[in-house]
Amino acid sequence: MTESGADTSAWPLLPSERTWGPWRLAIALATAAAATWCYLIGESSGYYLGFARAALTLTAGCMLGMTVAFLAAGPICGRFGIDSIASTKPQFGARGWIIPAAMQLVSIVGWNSLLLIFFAKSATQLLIVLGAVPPGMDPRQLVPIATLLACIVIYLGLLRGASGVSIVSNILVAHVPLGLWMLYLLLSRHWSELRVAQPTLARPDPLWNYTTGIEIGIASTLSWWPYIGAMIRMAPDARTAVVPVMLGMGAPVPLLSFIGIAGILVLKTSDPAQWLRTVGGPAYAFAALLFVGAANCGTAVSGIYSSAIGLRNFAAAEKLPWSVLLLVTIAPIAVIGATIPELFFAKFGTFLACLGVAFAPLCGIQIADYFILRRRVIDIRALYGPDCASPYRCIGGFNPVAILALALGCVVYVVLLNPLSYASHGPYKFMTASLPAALIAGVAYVVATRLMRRARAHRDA
Amino acid sequence: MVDPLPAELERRIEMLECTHRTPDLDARGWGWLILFGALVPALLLALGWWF
Repeated sequence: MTESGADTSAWPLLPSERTWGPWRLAIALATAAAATWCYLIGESSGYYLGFARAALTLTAGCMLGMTVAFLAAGPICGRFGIDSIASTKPQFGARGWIIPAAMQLVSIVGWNSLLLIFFAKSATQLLIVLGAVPPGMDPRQLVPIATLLACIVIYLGLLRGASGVSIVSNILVAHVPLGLWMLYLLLSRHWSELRVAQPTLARPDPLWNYTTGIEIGIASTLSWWPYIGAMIRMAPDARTAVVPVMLGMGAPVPLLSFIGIAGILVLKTSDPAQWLRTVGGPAYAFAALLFVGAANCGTAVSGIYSSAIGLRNFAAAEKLPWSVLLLVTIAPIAVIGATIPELFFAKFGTFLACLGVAFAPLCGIQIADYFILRRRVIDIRALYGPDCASPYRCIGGFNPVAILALALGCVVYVVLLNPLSYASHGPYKFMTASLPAALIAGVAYVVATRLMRRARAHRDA
Repeated sequence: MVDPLPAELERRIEMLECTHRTPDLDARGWGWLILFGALVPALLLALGWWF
């Protein structure tokens, strides 16, 4: 924690408090981004494309998505030392920022609940394999216990604020080489099968399959938007953050996703915890569990930190002690993990997939607002001033133009590509769904804002 | 009557307004962004389609 505790508040950080260099930021971002969702991302691509094409499209898509997410939140957060949520006040209004804040909270709490339950299930599986489950105990009872234990460890780590994130990241980043070792195992033992493996759900149109590989990469990295601000604000400026963001967050995800692509293509399962046990017995299964534990807990640490900083923007949470705010942030994850892990694991992923479509238009609106409408001029005082006096007040604190543009972007996305069924329409195969959703939301926001300004000027005259 | 900002927040904002006017991205930052965000993906996509 910084001396003033500013890294545990949503207030702008001063230059002297922004001490993360490029390596420290890259490690924190890599630990945040690399988790077991990488297998799922890889698995999704592997359904439509062969290994080489899936790997290349996913990497390109991740880098494109990272660029859009960085351009949305990076310049403002890096410039003023604020988090992603505070950076949305100029677009959504002095109160309307609660919409992106709700998206952030639900997305982070939802995803991290899934990741910790995933970790708990893997730990339980390993205990079963090792014969370490006490006689007479239902192994399913271990999942809530393991989730709660993970929550306690994460809570204790985060009591130190951003330095806790950094320390945990420095240790847990070791899972990335471990993941690359798994990839090496898979490639070295199954390369000949992998070269000829056919994706099971590939459509007859090769362009559609190719675009879907790109789209999966873009959509996956756009979901990192909530994390970006809370991490970038610890670096001295936005310039320093470009390479760590692009390589620290944008590169490990596709690299680890290759495990999922290769797994689903040749072994018909993307989860290394399953195939490593077959390949190397309990020792390899233990390595896989270490990977899952480090990857998911590392992501949860960054996610819960980002979420707690986001919550600080609410007046009610502004003065809460950090330990209490952390408890409030982590409690839903602990409650879900302890009470309904199986139900949540089975059903909530669908909801999160739907929520994910909103990040593309959100980024489009932020980019259009900052670079086109405001010409990179932000009133930092107005971001924190009283609602009634803020130039970002809009109508009752909400900017209807941004809200409608966000809704329009979501509609465009769903019309182009249904995120659940992958049914597509129109020019999806030529332009993906995320990029047009971001573009149309951004253009609609600029056009409608200029029309409103003109109408207001006309009326005042 | 509008409540004043907390003193510490006021101090931070004043510092950012008066002394710390960091530009968001300089030419080098844009260069890296164009390289990793446009050129490398374009190259990978061309390579993937050719495969």
